[in-house]
Amino acid sequence: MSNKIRKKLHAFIIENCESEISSLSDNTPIFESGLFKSVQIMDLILFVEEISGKEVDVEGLKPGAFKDIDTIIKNFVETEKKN
Amino acid sequence: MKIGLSKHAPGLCAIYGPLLNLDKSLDAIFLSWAHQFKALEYSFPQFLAVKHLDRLQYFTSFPHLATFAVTLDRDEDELTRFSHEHKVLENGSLELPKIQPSTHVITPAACYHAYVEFEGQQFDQPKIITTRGICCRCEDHYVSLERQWTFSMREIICIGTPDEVHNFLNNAKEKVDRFINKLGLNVKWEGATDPFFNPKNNPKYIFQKLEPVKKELVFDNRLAIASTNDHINYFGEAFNLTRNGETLSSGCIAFGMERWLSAIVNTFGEDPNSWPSFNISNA
Repeated sequence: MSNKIRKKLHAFIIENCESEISSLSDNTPIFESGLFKSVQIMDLILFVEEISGKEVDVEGLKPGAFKDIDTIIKNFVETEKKN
Repeated sequence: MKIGLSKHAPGLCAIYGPLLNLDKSLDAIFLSWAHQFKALEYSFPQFLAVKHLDRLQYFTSFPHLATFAVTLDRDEDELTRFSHEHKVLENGSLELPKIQPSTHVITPAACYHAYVEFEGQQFDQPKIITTRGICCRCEDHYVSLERQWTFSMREIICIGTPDEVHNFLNNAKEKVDRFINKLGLNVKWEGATDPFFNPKNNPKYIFQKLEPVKKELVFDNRLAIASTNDHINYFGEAFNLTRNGETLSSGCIAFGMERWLSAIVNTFGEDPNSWPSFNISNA
């Protein structure tokens, strides 16, 4: 499940990024490295909601929650397993 | 002894005597830090062009805070009629005749002027300036010295590479921390967001929650008296501030002057003789 989502996230970031990507790993910082601009956070949240089937609680967001692909998967896809 | 505060209207106060002296002493400390950064001092106009603020999506993000500078239409007959017939109502309001489209807002934050001032410039090294301005933000309610329609803000602003801006903000924060320890105010730094309109639908608000770009120095768990703001390359892109073709970052430290006065009065009482004395040499 999370592998499929991981691949979809990779594809989404490559398709929408603002700069040329030499390499994109699961730990590449999405905003800090300039792949995405800050205004694209909304697009990323909507995409994560779409592929995870869960609404993102904007008010409850913590610093770094969308740092990289690994962090997104951990915070918004694998949470059900813990529950 | 009075502290030196007159309330003219909700959100509009005058300070004099002890409070004004305290304000001057505090500002001298903040200004001395600016000088340690070799900051050039600026005095900017009270108004800011809407075309400049619009580039920052200000009217999307903060429409509720804006106070516009408006003037009456120059039509001679309209002006004559208004000069004879205008009437201030019991609720303190004045109905205006036709007004001209507004081209300016009353400055909502002191640092905006800096980016306008330097538009299109290249900087070989960090550019650091300081300014103090009367800022104007419309609020739902007002509290004297703490939440005012017009208030004074001292800012020190740095334009440079991300590392230069981070170093500047860290150094500025260290100066504040040293001063606060001597002063004995009950404060702590907290992550914060700006007061966006309809925040949940504003990517800038969400980004501020995700990236710790704004920190506030909060007094007694309730009142932000200063803030550090890492703008990343937001203003650099909007106003084309560059070095060797690369867009620069910016950051600022801001001091809400009246809020510092309130924090000191709340901490040390309403007798000015009990207020701490400090000067540039011991800050």
